[in-house]
Amino acid sequence: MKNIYYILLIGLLGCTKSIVFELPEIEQTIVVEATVESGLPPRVILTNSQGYFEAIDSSILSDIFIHDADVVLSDGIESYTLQEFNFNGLYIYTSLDFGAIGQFGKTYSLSIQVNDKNVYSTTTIPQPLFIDSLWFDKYVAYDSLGLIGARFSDPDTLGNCYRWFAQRINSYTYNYPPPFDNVKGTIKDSRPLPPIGSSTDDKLFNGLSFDFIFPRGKDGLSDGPDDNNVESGFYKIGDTILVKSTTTTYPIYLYVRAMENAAASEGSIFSSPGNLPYNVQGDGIGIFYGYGVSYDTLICE
Amino acid sequence: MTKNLLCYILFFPLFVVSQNHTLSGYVKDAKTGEALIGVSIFVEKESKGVSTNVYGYYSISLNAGQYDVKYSYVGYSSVVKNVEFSEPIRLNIELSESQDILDEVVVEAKQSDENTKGTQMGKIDLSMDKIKTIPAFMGEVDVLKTIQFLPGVSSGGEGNTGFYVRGGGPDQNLILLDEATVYNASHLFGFFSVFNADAIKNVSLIKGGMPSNYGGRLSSVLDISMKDGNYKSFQADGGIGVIASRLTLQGPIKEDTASYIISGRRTYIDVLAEPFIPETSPSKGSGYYFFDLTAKLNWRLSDKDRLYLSSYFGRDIFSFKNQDLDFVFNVPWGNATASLRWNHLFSDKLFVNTTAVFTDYNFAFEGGSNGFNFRLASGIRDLNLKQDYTYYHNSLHNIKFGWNYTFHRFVPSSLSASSGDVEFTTIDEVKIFGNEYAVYFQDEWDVNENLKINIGFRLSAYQHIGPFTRYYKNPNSGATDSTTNYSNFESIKTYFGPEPRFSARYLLPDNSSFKFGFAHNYQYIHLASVSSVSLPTDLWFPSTEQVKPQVGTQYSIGYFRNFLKNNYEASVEAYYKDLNNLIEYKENSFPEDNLNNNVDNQLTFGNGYSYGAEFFIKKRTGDFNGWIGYTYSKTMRKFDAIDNGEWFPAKYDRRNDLSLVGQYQISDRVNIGAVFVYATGNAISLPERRWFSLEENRIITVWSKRNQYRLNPYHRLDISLTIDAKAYKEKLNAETNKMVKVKKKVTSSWNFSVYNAYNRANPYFIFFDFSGDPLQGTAEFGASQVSLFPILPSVTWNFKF
Repeated sequence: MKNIYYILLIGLLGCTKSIVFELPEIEQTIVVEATVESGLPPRVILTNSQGYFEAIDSSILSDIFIHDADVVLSDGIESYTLQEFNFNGLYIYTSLDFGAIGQFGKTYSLSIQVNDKNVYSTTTIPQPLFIDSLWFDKYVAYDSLGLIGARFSDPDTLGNCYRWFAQRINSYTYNYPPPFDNVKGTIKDSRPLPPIGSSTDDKLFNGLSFDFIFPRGKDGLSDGPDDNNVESGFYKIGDTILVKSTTTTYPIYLYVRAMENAAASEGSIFSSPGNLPYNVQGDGIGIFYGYGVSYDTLICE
Repeated sequence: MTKNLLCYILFFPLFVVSQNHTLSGYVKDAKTGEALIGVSIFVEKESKGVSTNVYGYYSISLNAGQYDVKYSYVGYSSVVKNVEFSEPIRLNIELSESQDILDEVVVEAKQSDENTKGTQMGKIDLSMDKIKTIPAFMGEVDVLKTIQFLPGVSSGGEGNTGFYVRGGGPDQNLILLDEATVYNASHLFGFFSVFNADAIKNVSLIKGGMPSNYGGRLSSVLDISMKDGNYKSFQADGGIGVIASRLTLQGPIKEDTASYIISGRRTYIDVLAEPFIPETSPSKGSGYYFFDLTAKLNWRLSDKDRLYLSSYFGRDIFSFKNQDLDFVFNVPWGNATASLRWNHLFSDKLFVNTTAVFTDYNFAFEGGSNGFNFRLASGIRDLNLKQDYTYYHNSLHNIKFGWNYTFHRFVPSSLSASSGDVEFTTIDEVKIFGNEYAVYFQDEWDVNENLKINIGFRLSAYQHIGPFTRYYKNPNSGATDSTTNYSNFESIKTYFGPEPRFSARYLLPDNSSFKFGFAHNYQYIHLASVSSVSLPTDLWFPSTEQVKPQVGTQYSIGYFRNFLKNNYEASVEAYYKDLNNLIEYKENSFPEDNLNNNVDNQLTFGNGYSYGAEFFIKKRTGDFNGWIGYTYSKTMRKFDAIDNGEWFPAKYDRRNDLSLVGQYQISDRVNIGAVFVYATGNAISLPERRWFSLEENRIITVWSKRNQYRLNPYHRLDISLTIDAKAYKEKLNAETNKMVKVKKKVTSSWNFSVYNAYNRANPYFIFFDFSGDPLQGTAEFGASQVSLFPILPSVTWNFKF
């Protein structure tokens, strides 16, 4: 009798098989990823989209960048023509002009021309907000692991939006099983990483002071040595964390929420497929981020 | 008395021309006293006939004289009464089940030529006794899945009880259980319906022109009648299946005067799985189950008054725990309904039913982790009062009229949350209140021997009333720019809906007929869904000053023919349906956006149309019977905020839909049944492009326009075998010293079913993923199809005593 129910449960799990869809030839589009954040020069990455089912090889990775585009950033007073630089195969349009460095409270517009196609967008760098306090929230179930705890006070004006990042700036003190058997001595995170659910608006907590926790994010497609074991999502005693808390705009919050939700629910029947709410207009798609940044450092002990 | 007088004044012209005498009464089952619905009462000498209504009542007017009146009903022995007619006669009839149980059809309980002679198009009655012989998923007999085998009715998906009628949405079906609206008719994400087959007497589906006594929905009516309960003796029925068991008790409170029925059902996979989950498992305590209870009490207060109290209560409860992560959530949802009905005969010709209904549907999602706790809830509650009059004027006119009032209370979203000691009190609970009204009139008129028409008119209205807070949102910041507050009972917006209805039948000499139907409907409440399948999280939402009522117009035409002495019936129907003011969530809407906001700020509005042709042929009698139904249809939608207002195929646009249902009675005790279905694959959107987000280190998908592609076709074969245990045993008669046959106190049957007999891997959903490492330039992108149910055998033991 017991076996009957095991068989039944296995049966209910169903089965999965690969299928092939024949799609018509689809024209590809310009994709913009642009960022202005306080204290840093602007950066704009221009790529082409690919057919979804096209296989990826090394040539595609190098061919996706759009070169020689006319990219102009304006803060409403001055305009800056961005130049293309190659950073180890990553092509970024930026400006070396100090005036182009992101400033709080400014609204920036971006204008891009690629051949006869035009793409444009605007965004704002909001005023920053500082976290009241930070602590290492040790997890009872796991001895040396924990999350970041934070106390935060939201201003009493609705419509504030936030996004959290954190970067472990200390190094691994030991190796992990292959292919991570050579990580000892390397910095744990190469850049600030957002956890899933990294962005929120303040409709739930407008004007309140409260505690919250956030887990450790992973670097998108790149799995680190501690992203697929018990340490996944946790910080560890001994970590030194650079917490990057940012204020952002409502369209960017909507975009990040949709992007993270799409990543989390991919393959779920309970979600409806839909395109992301881009804030780029014209002959392309994409996002123009604006962040007002503040930094804190936390040592996990 | 006042109402009686009013009716006479209103219909004085009809009363004064009426010189006939009336034969009226109730028809019931001789063994149980259960009222029989749709019994044919036919006076051959006059070629006149009527049928019993949903309460078993009939009334027919005849000139003075002597007549043979024949009462006939599927599965029952016919009764012929010789009536001397010189004054009004009240004649209650009891019919006994036919010993020859094999001579009738798989479905329906209507008179044999109703197919050609009735004016109603697209109406199908289903008898539960017959539904139970059709192969059932996991052995659980399910009325909602059975109706999906009928032409014009599309399935909501693999194993799903959701249904779509002639291109209408799932919210456009009015589902009534003893007159009470059931808002969510499914358990377990749609795999089972909430209706326990043991407690149901009759199921009636109207997919064509809706008569004017029904309203509030655009596409169909599914009218489900519960059993009354045995008026004669105590009876118990039950069944033990692989996933659920059920028990029904019924009997007289006072013989032939009052009865009760109570029926319960519960799944037990959670109970059975519990011993196999180790105590150390972090998810110990997680599980899912559903249960439902139906109960009914009936009193025959007098020859003119009857009282019925029906109720339903059902819950699905899903709980998940992860003790390691200190994470827990519970998701309870379900319906509760209660209806009190009073039948009264003002006269033999004037029947009135007064109904008071309470309906409630609730959904909650509650949980917490690490000191953060929340509870998200939504629901709808109705209080409804209505009266339905039937005036049997004479054999040429059957008149119905009535009124209906419903008070709606909607809670689209309610959230409470806390983090540690801090309560998030900034969240307002937005409730919406509304009044829905309707009055109607209809006359079914035999114009002449060939032409019969049903002309009706319904006037409906909806009033959105306070208290209410309207939020005006800043599209750039999401912040509330301003609000408008409305006080209690303040009228915010009122809509009126004139709803003409018309149908006609023209009888042809060769036992065939042409029919035409027209219906114009208003729908004031809407279902908004954020997912691609029907979920309990779907929100019912009323019309407001921003959400106009849905409006539907349907035209249908059909040719109906019976042949070989009504043993076969066939029909061809074509329809065109126009739908306006449909709603959908805007893309990238999330449930939390409803907080401190109005749900209708997240909606987009559009239109749709559907047309199709339905072919149906049924063998009604014999050891082998069944039907073939085929539908060709096209269903399209258009919304301003989706694909720049371009037309796209609806998700349930099925160009081809075929059902074959058959059963064969091998012997008195053995019956086999089979069902085959084929349907065009669902319309879906596909990822056409992708791009690398180098800021986020992700691959972002770019989807096609809405529903531009198709899943693989759906087809499946189910088979079943039902074996009845011997109903009689041999016993020695002490007086005669001979063996005699004695009926067993307990009768039982075994039902063996095989779902998806040839193990077809039907698409349930598709997901898209890649293998390899995109960052190393070695990734392959592909699509995978998930199929839910492989071949699934099941066995159920049913008993009765």
